[in-house]
Amino acid sequence: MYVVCFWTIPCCLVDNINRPAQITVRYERRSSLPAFARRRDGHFNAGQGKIGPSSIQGRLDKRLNPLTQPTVSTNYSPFRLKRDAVIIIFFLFSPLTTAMAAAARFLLRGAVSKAPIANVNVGAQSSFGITLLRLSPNCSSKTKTQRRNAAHFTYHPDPVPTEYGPTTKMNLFQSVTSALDNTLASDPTAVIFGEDVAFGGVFRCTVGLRDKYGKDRVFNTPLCEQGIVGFGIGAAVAGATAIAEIQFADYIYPAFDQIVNEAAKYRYRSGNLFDCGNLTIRAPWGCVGHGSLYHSQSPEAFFAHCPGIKVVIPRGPVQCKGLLLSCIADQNPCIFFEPKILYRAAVEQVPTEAYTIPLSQAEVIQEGSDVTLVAWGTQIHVLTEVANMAQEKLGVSCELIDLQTILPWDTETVCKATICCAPPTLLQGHHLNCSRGFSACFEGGNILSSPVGGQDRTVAYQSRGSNHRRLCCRDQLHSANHTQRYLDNGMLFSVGITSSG
Amino acid sequence: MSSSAVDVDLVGNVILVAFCFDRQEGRRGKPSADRWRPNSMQKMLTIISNVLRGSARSNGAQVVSEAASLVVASRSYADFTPEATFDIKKVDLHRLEEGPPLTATLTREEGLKYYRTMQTIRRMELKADQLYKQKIIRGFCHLYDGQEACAVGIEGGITLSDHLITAYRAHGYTLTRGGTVREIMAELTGRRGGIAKGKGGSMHMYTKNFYGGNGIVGAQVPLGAGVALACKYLGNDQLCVSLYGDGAANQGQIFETYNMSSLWKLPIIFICENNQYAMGTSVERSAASTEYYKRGDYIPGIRVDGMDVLCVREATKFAAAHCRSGKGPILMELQTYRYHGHSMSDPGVSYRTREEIQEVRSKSDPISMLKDRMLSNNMASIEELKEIDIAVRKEIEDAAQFATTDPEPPLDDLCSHIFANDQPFEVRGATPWTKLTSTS
Repeated sequence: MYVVCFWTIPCCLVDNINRPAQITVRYERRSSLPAFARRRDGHFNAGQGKIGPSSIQGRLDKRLNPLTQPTVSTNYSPFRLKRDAVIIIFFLFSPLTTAMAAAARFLLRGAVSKAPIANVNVGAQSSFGITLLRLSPNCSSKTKTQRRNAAHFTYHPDPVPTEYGPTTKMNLFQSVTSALDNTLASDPTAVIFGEDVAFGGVFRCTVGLRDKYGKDRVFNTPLCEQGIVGFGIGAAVAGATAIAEIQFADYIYPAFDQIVNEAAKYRYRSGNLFDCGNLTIRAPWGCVGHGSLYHSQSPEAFFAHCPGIKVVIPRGPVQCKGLLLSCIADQNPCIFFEPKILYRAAVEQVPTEAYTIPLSQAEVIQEGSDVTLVAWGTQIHVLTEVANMAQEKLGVSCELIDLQTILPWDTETVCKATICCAPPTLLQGHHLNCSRGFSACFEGGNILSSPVGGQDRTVAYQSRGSNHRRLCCRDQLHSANHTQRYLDNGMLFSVGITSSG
Repeated sequence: MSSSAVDVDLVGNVILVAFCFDRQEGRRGKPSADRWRPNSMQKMLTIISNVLRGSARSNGAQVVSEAASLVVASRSYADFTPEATFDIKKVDLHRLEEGPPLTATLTREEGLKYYRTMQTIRRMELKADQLYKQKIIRGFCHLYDGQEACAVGIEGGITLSDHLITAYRAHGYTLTRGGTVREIMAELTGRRGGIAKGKGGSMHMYTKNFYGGNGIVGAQVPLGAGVALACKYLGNDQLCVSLYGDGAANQGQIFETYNMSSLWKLPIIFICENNQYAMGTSVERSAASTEYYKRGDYIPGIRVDGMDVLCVREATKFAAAHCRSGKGPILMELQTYRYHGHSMSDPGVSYRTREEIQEVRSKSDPISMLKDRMLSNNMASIEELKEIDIAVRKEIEDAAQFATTDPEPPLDDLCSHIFANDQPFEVRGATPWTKLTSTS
C-alpha cells in the first residue's frame, strides 16, 4: 500500500495563488452593448489574453480523454454565427494592423484551440463559430487591472436519450417550459403562479404557457413569497396541482416557515387525512457570476434536514425535464432548484414527450475505482472535468455520482460506490460555502442516518478506514465584487486524494 | 458693431439700475401676477430681458449672445429674489384632519442647493448607466433618475441626525445622507475607495444614520421600526424614515411593521415611493388597492406629488412634526416615476411606452420644475444654473475617473468582517488545505 498525498492544481493557477484565474466567461450574459463592442470589451477574451474553454487543458498540454463526453463550450446559435461573420468581414476591411493582430492571435492560439475544436461534436456551426471566435481580435482597450476576472466553466451535455421518443434541441429553460407544457396539457388541475410568470418569467421558463392555457391557469402573484407558498399549499390541499415559482432561491426565506412548518408536516399531522403533495416549488438556484449576495444562493442545505419535503436539483435539460415531471407527479411537496447558470448554457437533445426520472436515485455518470466524487447541479460539470484531469494527469480513476435528489438522498448508491473504492474515499463538491453545504452529515466519514418518512436508514460506513473530503467555496458571504474569486476557488480544479494503507 | 454693443451695455446698465430698485421693492411676499403689478416700463424691460434670455437659451449653453451676456452679467446677486413662496398641490389625506400647508417658501440658497443635489443625482445615475454599459460597473444597478425630488425633498424635511433606510434604489439617498459622489461611484465599481470598501456594491451603501441599501424587497421596513424604537427609547427626538416601493407594499412584513409601530407609537415615517411599476408589473396588476397611503389602515396617511421637491419637503416636515409630537407612525405615498427600467438589465419599455416616459419627462421632471420656478421668479440666472451644471458634470467626471482607476480591495478583505472577533480566525478555503484569515 502506498501513501501518497497530493493534489493537482493547474499550473495557470499555481502562480495565481493570490490572484484568481483569469479565464473566459462561458455562460451567456445579456449585454446592452452591440455585438461588436461586446467582443471588444473582453467578454470572450479573458484577461491576460487567455481565450477559449481549453485554456486550462491547453496549458496542461493534454488532449481531452476520448472516452469523455465532448464538451460544448458555448451555445452558438446561427445568429451569433452571422454576427461573428460580420465581425470578421468588418475586420478584414479594417486597418492592416488590426487584421495582422487578429491573424497573429489566431496563429498563436491555433495550437491551443485545435484540441477542443477537434473534439466538439455539437455541430459544424459551433466549431466554425469557435474558429471565427478565434479570429476576432482582442481589441480591448482596458488595462489588465481593469479586466474582469472570470471563472472557468464547461458544460458537459448528456448523450441523446433514445428511450423516451423523439427529441429536440433545448436548453434548460426550454426544457422547463416543455415539462410545464406537458403538465398543463395532461392535468386539467395544474396551475402555475409566481412573480412575473405570465409574460414568461425572468428566465423565460414559462414563455407561451399563458397564451396556450389561459390566464386562470398561468397567473402572476404580487410580491409576497410567504403568500405564494402558503397559497400554493392551500391550492394543493384542495386538489389542484400547484406549481409555484419563487423568482430566485435567495427569496425563499420568507416562505421558509410555510415550507418547513406547513407543507412538510401536513400529511404527518393530519394522520394522512390531508396532504399537499400536489405542490411543487420551482426556484432558480446557484451562483451565476454577477449575482452577488441575493441572486446567487443555494439554499438546499436549509431544506435538507426537513423530513416531509423533497429537494431536487438537475444537472442539465434532460434531467431537468424528467425530474421536474417526477416532482410534479410525486405525492410529496417538492422543491425543485434549477441552476440558473445553466439556463442558457446547457443545451441538449431533450425528448418532447413527457417522461420521468425517478427521484431519490443517484446517477452514476462515470464508473471508477479509486475515488468517488459526489455532486449535484452545476458542480457535476466541474467534477466531470476534474475526473478527466485526474485520469489523464494522475492516472486516478474517479467514480462520478450525481445525487439529483438531495432529500431523501440515495445512500445506497453512494455507499456502494464508496465502499467499492479501496480504501473508501469520498470527495464531495458543491459551490456553496463550507458551513452551508449539504454535507454536514457527510463530514468526518460518517454517513449519518437520513430519516425518510420517519424511518431511519443508518449505513455502517465508518468501520472501514475511510476518507472523506469536501470541496466547496470559502466560508464567507458572497459580496458583489468577490463573486468571481469565490467561484474560482470553489471551482478549483484540485482533487484531494489520499490513499492510506 | 462694437459701438452698438457699448450702447447696449450702457443702456442696459442704466435700465437695470432702475429695474433693480423697482424689483427690490416689489419682491416681498408673493411675486405672483396678482400681487405685483408691473408698470409699463417694467413690462417693457421684462420683455426685453426675456427676449435676450430666450435667445441665449436657444443658442445653447456655450453660445450666448453678446448683448444678453452683457445685460445679464451686469446684474448683481442683489437682483435675485432671496425667497419666494409657491403654491403646491394639495395632498390627499387619510385619517387626518389637517395636512401639510398649501404653500411652500423657498429661499435662493435652498433652491440652488436642491438644484445642485438633484442635478448631481441625475448626472451620477446617467454616468452609472454609461459605466454599466461599458462593463466597468457589474452586477446589479438600480437607477434613481426621475425620482430625485423624493430624496432631496425628504432630506429637506429631516436633519442628518434623523435616520433613514431604504431598498435597493439607494444611490440618491446615499448622496443626500452624506455620501460623496466619489465614494458612491467607487462602490459601484467595487473599489477600495467605495463607501462600503467595495464589498457592498450598488445595493449596499451605507453612511452615518443611513442604513442602506437593502436587497430583499420589504425586508428593510421592520428594520426601520427597530431603529425608530431605538430613537424613542433613547429619547433623542430623532425619527426614522423607512422607505419601500409599490411592489414591496404587498409584502407581509410591512403590515407586521405597521402593527408594531402603531401599537408602540414609534417615531417612524413610512414612505412608499410609488413609481407605478414593481419591476415590470404596474400597480393596477399587482395591488388590490392602489391607494398605498391608505394601506396603513389605522395609520394616518398622505399622498404627495413626488415629482415636486417642495411638495415632498413640506409633506416630510409635516410628517416629521407628527412623529416628533409623539403621535406615532405616519405613512406617506410619493407618486413618482423612474425614467430608467427597474435595473440595468431591464430596458424599461417592454411594460410601458416610450411616449409615457417622454410625457413624464417633459411635464413633470423634478429638475426642470425647480429650474423653471427659480428662473421665472428671478431667484437664479440661467448662467448660474449652467455653471452649477458644469461643476456637477466635472465632479461626476472626476468621480468616475477615480472609480475606474482606484484599485480593487485586497484579497485579504475577502473574508474579513464575517463575525466580530478579537483575534483573526481561519476560514476554510475551497479545499481543506487552503486557509484564509478573517479579521474584524
